[in-house]
Amino acid sequence: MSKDGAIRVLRYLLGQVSPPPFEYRLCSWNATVGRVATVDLESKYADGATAVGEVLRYLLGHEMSGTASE
Amino acid sequence: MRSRGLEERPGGSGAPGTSSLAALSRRSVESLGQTVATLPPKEATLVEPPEMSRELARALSSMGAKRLYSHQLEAYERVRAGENVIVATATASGKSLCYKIPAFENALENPSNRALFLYPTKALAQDQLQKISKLMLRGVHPATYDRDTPKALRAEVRKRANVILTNPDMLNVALLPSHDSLWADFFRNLKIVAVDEAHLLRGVFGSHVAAVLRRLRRVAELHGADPKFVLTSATIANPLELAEVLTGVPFSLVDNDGASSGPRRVIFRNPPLKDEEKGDRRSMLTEGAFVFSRLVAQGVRAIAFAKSRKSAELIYRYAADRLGPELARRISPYRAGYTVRERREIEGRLFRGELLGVVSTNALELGVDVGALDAVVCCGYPGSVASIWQQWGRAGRAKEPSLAVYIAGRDSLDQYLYENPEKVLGRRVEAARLTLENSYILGPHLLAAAYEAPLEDRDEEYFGYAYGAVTEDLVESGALVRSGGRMHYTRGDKPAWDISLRSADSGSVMVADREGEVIGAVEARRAPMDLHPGATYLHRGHAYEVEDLNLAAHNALVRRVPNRYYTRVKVETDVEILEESEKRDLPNGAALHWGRVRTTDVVTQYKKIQVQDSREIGVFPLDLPPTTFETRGLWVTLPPLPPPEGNTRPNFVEFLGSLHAAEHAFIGLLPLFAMCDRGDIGGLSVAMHRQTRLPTVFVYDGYPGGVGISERGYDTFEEAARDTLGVLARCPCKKGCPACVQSPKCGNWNER
Repeated sequence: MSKDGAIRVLRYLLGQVSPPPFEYRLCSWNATVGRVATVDLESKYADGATAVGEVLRYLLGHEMSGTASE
Repeated sequence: MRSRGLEERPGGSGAPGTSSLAALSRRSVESLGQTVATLPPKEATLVEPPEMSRELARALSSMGAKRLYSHQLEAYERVRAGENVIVATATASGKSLCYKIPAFENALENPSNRALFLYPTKALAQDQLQKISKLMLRGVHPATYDRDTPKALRAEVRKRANVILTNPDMLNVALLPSHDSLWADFFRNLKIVAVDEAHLLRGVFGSHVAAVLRRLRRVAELHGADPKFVLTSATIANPLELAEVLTGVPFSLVDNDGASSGPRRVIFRNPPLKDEEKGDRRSMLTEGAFVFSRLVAQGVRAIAFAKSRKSAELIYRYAADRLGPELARRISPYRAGYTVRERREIEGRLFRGELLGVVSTNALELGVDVGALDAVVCCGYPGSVASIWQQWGRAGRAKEPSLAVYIAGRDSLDQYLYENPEKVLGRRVEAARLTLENSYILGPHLLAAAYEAPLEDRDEEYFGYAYGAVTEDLVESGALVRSGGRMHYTRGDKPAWDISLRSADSGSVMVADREGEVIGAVEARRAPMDLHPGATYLHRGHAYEVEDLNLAAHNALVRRVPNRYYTRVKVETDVEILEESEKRDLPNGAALHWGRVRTTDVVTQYKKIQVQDSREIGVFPLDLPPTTFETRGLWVTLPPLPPPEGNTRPNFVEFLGSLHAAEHAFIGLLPLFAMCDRGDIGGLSVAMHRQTRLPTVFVYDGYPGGVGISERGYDTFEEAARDTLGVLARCPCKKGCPACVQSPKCGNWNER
């Protein structure tokens, strides 16, 4: 049981992960085919898949800002 | 004499005239907790009464009132115009007169005209009978008809009474099955059906009562009657919807409250933290006893409400210890389980002012008249915001000031309300939900309806669109037989007798001691959890250990043991999606779904915990068959997790713990929206569900067939999730506690 994790899950579901503290917003995720369909134009990321990975890593409790795999 | 509106709030008693709060110093008030609001007094909107019989006008005048509150007149006029009406106004605003005046007027016009008043409890019906009798209306013959009515008197009641006060259970087993023999004259002349405290008709009980009311409409029509319905309710989010789902007919809402009220100071108190890291707080019971005894010690006439019988007894004991022997004699506990005589005696002493205070369960929450009280201490969340207001409404006479105290418990909902008083004081978000689509509930009522008169296809208009499928199943199973275009019930017994309005399924396991005496019963689907071998079963304060559970024979054998241990089971749960009915997208690629699900629970272990110090004694394996039922549920799916990158792999244990904690926190707050108990809701979180192939969180109705809880969760998901997030963010604990993510009924013991 993780209280911090629960906060992350709820923030994720409520769309509070982005904008700030994250500068991008994912518009649509096609779960069936497992890839991003569209990415918000405000995204600072050109690569939508990277953005999705970042948000999901956030969900998993990793820090953002590109250090997720460290 | 100054004219006032017709209200039936406590205060007409012989109690002293001024508020006992005058004795309280400012410092004393401040010591009780934090004042979160001072609600201003409200002037009454009084109107001239309509033209009515001289007899009724005299009776109303004898109550000391010559004019009506505006909502009473509006309700009267609508009923007389042939509308069905639901009145949703504040506690003690004289709601019951909204159905009594038109019913009495009917009876005075023609003594053959009948009215049926339904109350959720026998005590409330008795109390109302006394009030009606005091009016001494010639031509109005009220009588209660319930299990306490002596058999020798029943025939006389059926013959003479033109206002019958009873409860839905009695309507189900006595009036409706005998409509064509004993009650034919009554149903033929039935003009008004009143349902008091309709907001209590929700969930399983409400769904059953909806079916009973549909049967009532059908029987009335068979006798050529077309009664009008008048419902009264506490203020909730959906009174109109509730009335229409309960009865199946269109309603008008009367909610423009014309009653007056005195100023009310609202105080919230949070027991102080004992251990910040664990979020452990001091007991709500000792805090309740502190506040209650402090009020009583200063001469304030007060009532404290506890959530359970045991809590009421404990608060009373703690308060008596604080007060000392002399003042302790002026307080008393009050709860169900006392004899009728004991209860009447306590009510009488309170009414006469001999008692200064009483500690009660919700047995006194409903309108039993206990005279003048000035302060209410609400110890813990009583199950709905409407109940908090009802409890607070027991204090305050006419325009006198009153004090309302709320003491938060350790649960997440208690803590949430403490942090957000506006959720109690502001707009109501809780909605009473029930369903007519639950075949487990509707099926037995259709058998009862077929016994009352063979069913026809057109009866769908009474029982809703599940009617066709459920009757098909009943025909297939042989419970109904088609003949001459109708469906007949052919078994000899009265099927209504097998229906318990308070339970979702009819099956139960009987609990017997070694002498063979049956001491209790548990719903069959709960038996593996509550009656597994080795389980501690509590009954009237005594502990019993389960020696044997025979699910096939529906019995459990127990033996009396010292009250040293309690037990908790570990449950493996599986949820299978049967049908998705609704879906909408959530941010970040997540989605919310609602539909039909099948849950399977297997009880695999139990642990024994010492009562004295909560020390775990041991964990023991169990070998029990699975329990499966179909219900309704919502589920949230998240996008698939990212694949491993190099040496980095997602921490699935942490992730599952996050989902599980979010599920618990959400379930903890959902009762605020769906007016149910946390125990009515089930949940499951998985990192990947075999059907969705995605991380999935399920939240489902804990009753076979569902009763509308998860549907409300689906409708209000974003608001409920935001509030849940607020609970978590503000909880001072470090890693999760009972006030945020831990669940008292978690099948995983809050471990994963």
